[in-house]
Amino acid sequence: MRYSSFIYVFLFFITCFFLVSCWQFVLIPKQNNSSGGSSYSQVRDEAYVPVYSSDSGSTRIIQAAPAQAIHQAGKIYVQGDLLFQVEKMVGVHIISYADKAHPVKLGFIKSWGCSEVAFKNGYLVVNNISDLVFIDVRDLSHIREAARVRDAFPQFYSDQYFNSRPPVSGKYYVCPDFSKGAVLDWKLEQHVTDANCFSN
Amino acid sequence: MTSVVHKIIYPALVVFLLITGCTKDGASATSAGAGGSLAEFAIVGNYLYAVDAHSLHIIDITDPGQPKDKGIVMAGFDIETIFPYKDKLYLGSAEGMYIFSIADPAHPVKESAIQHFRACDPVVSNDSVSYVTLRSNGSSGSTNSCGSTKNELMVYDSRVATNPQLVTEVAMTSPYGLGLNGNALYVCEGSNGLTVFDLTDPWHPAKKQTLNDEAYYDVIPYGNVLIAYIDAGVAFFDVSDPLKIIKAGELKN
Repeated sequence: MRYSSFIYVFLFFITCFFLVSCWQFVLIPKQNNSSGGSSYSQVRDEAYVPVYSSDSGSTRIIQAAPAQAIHQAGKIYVQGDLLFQVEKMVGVHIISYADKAHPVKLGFIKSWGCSEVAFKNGYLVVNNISDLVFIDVRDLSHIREAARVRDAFPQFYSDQYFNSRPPVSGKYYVCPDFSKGAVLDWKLEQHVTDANCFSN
Repeated sequence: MTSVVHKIIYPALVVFLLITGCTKDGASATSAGAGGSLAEFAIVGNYLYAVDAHSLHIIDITDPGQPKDKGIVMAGFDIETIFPYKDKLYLGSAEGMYIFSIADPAHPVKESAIQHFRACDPVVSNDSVSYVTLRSNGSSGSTNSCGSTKNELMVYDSRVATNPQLVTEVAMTSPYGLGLNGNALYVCEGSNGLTVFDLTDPWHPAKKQTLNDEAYYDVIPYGNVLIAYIDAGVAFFDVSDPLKIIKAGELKN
């Protein structure tokens, strides 16, 4: 009895040891050490703050939207005269380039956390956070989610880990805490504490 | 007279109908799609392959409205990109390149794994050569942390898929995605433009020109068109002559 409880305590500490190293790993690579002695309580005039997905059902949905501006251009996929371009973390632009000199946006599909796109036989395949979603786009006025494979794209989280930084370089930002959810957006705020990461 | 109708007119009519039938839905249904070299999804025939850091996720999309999860195959370490060519998948990882056979599409089999120094590395390939770009961290426009200081284009002899051999390394500035088109290789270099290589000698790519009008991140050669993912959107080039790229249009913002 005593022996087994000792084992549990031992396991607990071993687990803590490994978890602590993970925690450090999350924080350290993104910290700006060059500012020397930067304190955790330092207030910066201006810094980016992550906007987390609550990751309730509200972020795991697909919505059709009118054509919109390209802000953060992402990966592309082509079939025939149709081109699809990811709007990083937000969704996919549907583009016709039947006239290459005058390409036209036909519509937009919102999918939080989007980074990947492919297309087959009228169905768009995108990631919605870590889910793979198959979207029937055969009729652009009746776009619908046809199928969803939950958590078939865990790569989302490793991409997040490496790529979650503000869209603008040369700025301080609050280092993401992925235990709060995926980072879906960034907000520029005034008088920010704990903005200890720097985008170079 | 009737024999003429039977022997010539009817067959001609059938051929005509077939051809027009094909061209009509060709754009949206029958022609194969293509992704860029930075893609983490690849569709080959009836299968979708999605890259995960350590594995390949296989999904049967014979009916893309009703996908069937076929599970995963362990692949390697820190895999970032997937490029399909014929019955092979070329995976770019932060540590090397993996070649998988998909002769049996539901069961990809690893044929080889080559190691290089740590960097971001998309790969494109044809029957005999694989081109890999390695990009260090911190170049302009970069959002990746790849932990390297080198920027290179690496040329591998991959005729024997089980044993690729490094042939040449070409110094680059900040290579991102790349695309193969006959005797031309296009390498995106972020804010340093798009570089066109002449592959007359496929083992020793020769720099031919660099376009500096945009920041280029990836390309898809698609028939006579080269589609580029640029900073603010997409650009289209006529590449009827692969070594002579002519901008046809773009869509920005």
